[in-house]
Amino acid sequence: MEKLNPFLKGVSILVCGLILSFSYSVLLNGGIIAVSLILLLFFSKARLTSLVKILVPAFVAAVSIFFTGMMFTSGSAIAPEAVSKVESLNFEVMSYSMTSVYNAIQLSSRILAFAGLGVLFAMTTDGEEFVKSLMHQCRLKPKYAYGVLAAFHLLPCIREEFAKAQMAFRVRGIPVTPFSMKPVFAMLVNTVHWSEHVAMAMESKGFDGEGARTYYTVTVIRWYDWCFLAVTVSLLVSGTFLLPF
Amino acid sequence: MKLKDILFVAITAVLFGIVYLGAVYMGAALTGILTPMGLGIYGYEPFYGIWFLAAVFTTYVLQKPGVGIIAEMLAALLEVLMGNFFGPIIFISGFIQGLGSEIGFAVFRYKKYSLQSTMLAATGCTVLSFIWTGIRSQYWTLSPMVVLGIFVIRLASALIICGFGCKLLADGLAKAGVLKGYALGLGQMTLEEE
Repeated sequence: MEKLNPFLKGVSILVCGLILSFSYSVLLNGGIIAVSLILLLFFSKARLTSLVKILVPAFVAAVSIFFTGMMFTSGSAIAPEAVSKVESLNFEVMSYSMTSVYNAIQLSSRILAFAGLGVLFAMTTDGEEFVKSLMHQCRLKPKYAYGVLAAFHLLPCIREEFAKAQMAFRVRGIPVTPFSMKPVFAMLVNTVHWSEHVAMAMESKGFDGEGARTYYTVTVIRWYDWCFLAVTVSLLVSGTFLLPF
Repeated sequence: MKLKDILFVAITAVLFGIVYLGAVYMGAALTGILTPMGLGIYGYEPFYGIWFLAAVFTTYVLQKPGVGIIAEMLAALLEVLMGNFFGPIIFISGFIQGLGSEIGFAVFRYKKYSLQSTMLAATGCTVLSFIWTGIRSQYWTLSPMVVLGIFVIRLASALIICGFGCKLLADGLAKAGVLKGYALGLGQMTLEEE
């Protein structure tokens, strides 16, 4: 999975996600979850512990949406002709609760399917590679690409700055809770300064966002990238039409 | 856009990314609390305004058309870099939210940058993102009252966090004098000189 071109992998997963947004099959959702787990476990270098960690919030969301579906499924989601033909209250209650359970499973498996697709991308893609490949395959302008990379790598500095700002307030005897806005504002003032400084630094080193430039590494698309795109999308499309529920 | 503007947008996106991460934890906690009542779907809604911050804030500061969409796309890219578990699909959500914010500012033809326009932008984000999440999580299968609740909470959160918050934050920064290089800071400087 790591060897695939990041941009085309991203496109495949994006297209899959879009198709999934408009198809409503529990089996398909289950299939996607299974396939992405298999790919992650056996065909990638993703570590099991980090996989579990990243899936916990998705699982929480899925469970909660399951309960919402159970309790608040709309009455109109139930096919009325199935109920109105019979007089039995038992049957009516059963078919209503069946629909609720089905809807709940459907909603929560959908969340997990989306998460499966996303994790499949996130765990097997190096961020920098992805930006490079956006530049080479998607014609993202270098000024955007390197601007984002610069900001991304400032992240540790921003964290440090925030800690410093909090400390500065404490030193002055002003109580600081994780929710107080003053240190956040102080940090913002400093980091906005940085954005000007970093831009100046990049330009003074001769960085020109528009002109032609050479690259140390150039990502390329190989035949198996197209294969991955074709296979995943065609599987999903056929799944949408073939799987009944 | 100049490199300076791009870096400004990217760094604000990173900053809001950190705030957003905190909101995810709080949202997860709230979801956990609400789940037994079946209202877990509301867990993330009170924090939804934070998702729109990047677009509205940067448009308000840079005052150019198209900034909102670029800001949300860069924010989405950064979130992918940070390892968001929804992966590339958030580019779509980012684009849709950016578009919502653009609509809000476009109503005044990108001429007026006031509380009204940030509020409108926040509303635009809410409506478009509501349609998109509605398609993704099939809101029509849930009871209408629950769905209406989602919309109302999200709108309130967007108006408070994004509409008011962006304006306060940006004006505060302009007053602190760090936005001199950008449209908002420039506008305020000339006002004071007059």
